[in-house]
Amino acid sequence: MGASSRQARDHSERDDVARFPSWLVGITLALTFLTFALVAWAGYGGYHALESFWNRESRIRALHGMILRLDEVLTMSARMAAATGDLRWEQRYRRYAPQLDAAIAEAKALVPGSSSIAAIAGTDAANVKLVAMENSAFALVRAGHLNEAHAVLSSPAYETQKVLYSTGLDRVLKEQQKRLDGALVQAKQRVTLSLSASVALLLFSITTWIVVIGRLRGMQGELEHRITERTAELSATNVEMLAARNAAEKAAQTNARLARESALILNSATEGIMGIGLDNRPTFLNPAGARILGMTLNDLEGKTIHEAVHHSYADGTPWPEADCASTQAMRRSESVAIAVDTFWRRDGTSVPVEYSSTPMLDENGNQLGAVMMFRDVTERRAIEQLKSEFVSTVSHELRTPLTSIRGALGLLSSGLLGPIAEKGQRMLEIAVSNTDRLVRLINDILDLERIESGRVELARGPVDANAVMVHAVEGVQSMADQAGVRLLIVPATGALWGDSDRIIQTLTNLLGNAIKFSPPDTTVTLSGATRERDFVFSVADEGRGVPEQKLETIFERFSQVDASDSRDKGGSGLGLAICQSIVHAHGGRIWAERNDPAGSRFQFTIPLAVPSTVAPAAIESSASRTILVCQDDWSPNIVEVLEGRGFRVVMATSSAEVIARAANVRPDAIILDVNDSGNGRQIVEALKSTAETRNVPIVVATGQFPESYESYAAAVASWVRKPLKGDDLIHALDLLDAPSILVVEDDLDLARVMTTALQGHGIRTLHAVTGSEAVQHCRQHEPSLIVLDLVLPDMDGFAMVSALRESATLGRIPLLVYSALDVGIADQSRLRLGPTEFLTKSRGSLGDFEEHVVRLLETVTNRTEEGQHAA
Amino acid sequence: MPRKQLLVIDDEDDIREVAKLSLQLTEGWTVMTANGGSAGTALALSMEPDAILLDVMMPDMDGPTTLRALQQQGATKSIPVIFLTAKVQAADRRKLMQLGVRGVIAKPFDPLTLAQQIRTVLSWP
Repeated sequence: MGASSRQARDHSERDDVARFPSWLVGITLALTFLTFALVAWAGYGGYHALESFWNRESRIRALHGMILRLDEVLTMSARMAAATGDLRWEQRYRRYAPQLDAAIAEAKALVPGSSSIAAIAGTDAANVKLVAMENSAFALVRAGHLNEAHAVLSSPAYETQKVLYSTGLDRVLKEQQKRLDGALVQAKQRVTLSLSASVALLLFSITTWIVVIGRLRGMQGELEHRITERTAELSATNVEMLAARNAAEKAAQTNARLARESALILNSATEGIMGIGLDNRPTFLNPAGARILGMTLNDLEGKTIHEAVHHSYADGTPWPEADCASTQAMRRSESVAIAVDTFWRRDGTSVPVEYSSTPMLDENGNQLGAVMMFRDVTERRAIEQLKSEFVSTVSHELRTPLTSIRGALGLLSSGLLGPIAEKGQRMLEIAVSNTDRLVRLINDILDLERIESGRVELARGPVDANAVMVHAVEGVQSMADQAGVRLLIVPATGALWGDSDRIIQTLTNLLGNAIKFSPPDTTVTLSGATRERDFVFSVADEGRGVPEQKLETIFERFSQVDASDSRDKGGSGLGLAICQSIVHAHGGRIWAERNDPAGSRFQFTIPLAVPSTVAPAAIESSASRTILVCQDDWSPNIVEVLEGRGFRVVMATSSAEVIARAANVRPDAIILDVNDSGNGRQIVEALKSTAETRNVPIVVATGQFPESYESYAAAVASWVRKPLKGDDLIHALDLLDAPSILVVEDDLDLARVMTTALQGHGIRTLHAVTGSEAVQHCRQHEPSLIVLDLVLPDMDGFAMVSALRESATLGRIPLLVYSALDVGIADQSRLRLGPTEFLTKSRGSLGDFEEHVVRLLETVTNRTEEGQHAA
Repeated sequence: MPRKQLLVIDDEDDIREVAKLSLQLTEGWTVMTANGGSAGTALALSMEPDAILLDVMMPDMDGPTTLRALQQQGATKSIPVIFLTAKVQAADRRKLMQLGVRGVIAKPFDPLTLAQQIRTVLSWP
């Protein structure tokens, strides 16, 4: 039975009891008291009446006796006096006479109406006559007449009076007795009546008591019935409860067993396990955790997990909880996994840990807290450190003997040490190529180890997706040409956030693989696309493809589709593993899939830059000078040399691209590879005819000087011979540091003569046709010297000088005014900038002009050096 | 143009020999060698070579220490130094460049192009 229905019944029983007529009990009680009061009153009244009756009766009886005896005494005293003549009898008489009167008076008073009875009876009259006769008798005695006195007292009259008195007295007494008896009857009646009434009331109250008790007994019966019923119910419930208790005990035992098991598991776990409440405070810590942290749960009391063990960075500087991303993530009930972090022990020492935190949810998905598992990684880190040092050392130690071997073999196979037989030559070539392969392998192992150990941080920055694609394709172009494989770039735009060298390395690796496994006359396609928050690079080939079962494992170290690949294709077997490491280090994903209808497609993702971090300024603000290199046979050595010298290298592969990029990137110099088909001149002319690129120095690399060499002369800053060599390039680029002269001259033929002459002195020459172009150029690149013709198409020389004077720095540039006009003294002052000289064209020869320029430049250079010394 | 004179400082006898032979055969340069930093600085002082190839990892006196010693002597201060190293990582290379050398050439080097690499680094014609 449910508790609620039982309760309802309790209510109804209480209502029944309440319905019992309490007024009946009240009345019964009142009646009972009244009865007792009446009985008491009647008893007391009866007793009182009877007592007074008995008192009066006994007094009257005493008085009657007293009256009779006193009457006798008086009569006798009188007769004795008469007989003896002794007067003392008279004295006695006189003494008792008042007593008799008093007794008679008292008797009369005791019984109402006695006096009237007495009067009727004539006793009083008789008494008066007797007293009178006795007084006369005493008088005769006193006179000595004893006989006479005797005669009086023995006279018939006296005797008559005496009888009258006695008879009357009897009658009075009898009457009094009768009256008293009446009073007694009255009293008896009164007592009987009150007693009867009391008995009646008593009976009534007894009756009511019987009724009440009967009623109560009925109720008691009912209650007893109910109690029986309830008892039965209770015993039934008790049985249920006992069953439930048994079940609960069993459950408790099971729980206890599970708890013991859980405790055993938690206690024997080698990882630290910590329970964390919703307030981020620890609620549980297993023994392993206590051991790792050197503290118990009590030590953590009242602190958040961050305050307790995560309060400082590894270097000991305080780490505010608000800055702690993992704590914040835990507060947001997110899962957290941290591979390397530092926890702090109670004694102030730190311990390197790996940890993860998972929210604890109840069945409704409400968060109860979190569970953090953590592990002391001191040993693992020591081992990693050891391993990485070992790899580094071993690779160095291997490289040292390889250097000798490679050098010796190289010299031998070169024939410089003497002729070698053809078979011997072949053997030496095998030795050289395998030594190279061994070196590559060692390099790759070291590279992979460094990336995976995280010891080499990625140099992250904004990366232009298209630029890295172009760069990578340039790197493998010659390899593709040798293999007869076409390379196709599908242009794509995307601003990425990553390490551009590493991304290029990945692309180069994938492209190299694709080329290696592509038969001639097929195409390898590099494309890219933005997908949500990532940029996806895709390298597709039409080669033999990767078997389905190898698509997953192909990224493992030394995994090859075919066991002979490594030997045949000259790879280290680590290329894809390195790619994977690089991509993972960027937070990206790499995978392979089959390409329709043939071949395979390798794809990987790199996160897109957060818009705010890729302000264009960030890309352009590279402090180093930028060289735009346009060549079709790519040599990594050139890039390495340029980058080693602090240049930033931008690559372009086609003439259209070089023109577009030059205008875009505004390089400090362009290295232009001119192939024999001879479109170099068009590129140079295009660059020179565009205002943005007109004065960018161009270094032309060529296998042979073009027939129209002369026509290039003015436009090209320097020449290098192919095949490209780093030193030639650097030498050519030294001109960037060389003094530059801006020739402002609208006569193109004269300008060409002047620039050619100056280039003969190793002077870099720039050319502007108009005054405004010259001013603009000066603002971009301050020249060391300006050679100025005064008559110009747009603004004349005077206007140009005054424009330059507005700037403090440009106003100090040395100036050679080389004009057909003679300039007067007055005009000369308007034309001065820095050190200024005037040369009239018609008067000075070309030699004079060269001399002036060189001298002016020398003063400038000396001045600069002096300034530096002074500084 | 007078023949270039080079000094190779490396603790490995074989490498010194290969480098010397390579530079002599390909360019006809005069090459002297030293097997350590102290011998190298002494030789540099007496010989005043046009350039020094300096190994980085050597016992006793390593490459950077030797470089400092060369930079502190007036007579050798201006001799261009090129590190020869088995460290091939870009980061290592940058660190070495910051010490004030003209270039870094990786080991193992190709004996046929070693001289060319030196020319490139030093901008020799």
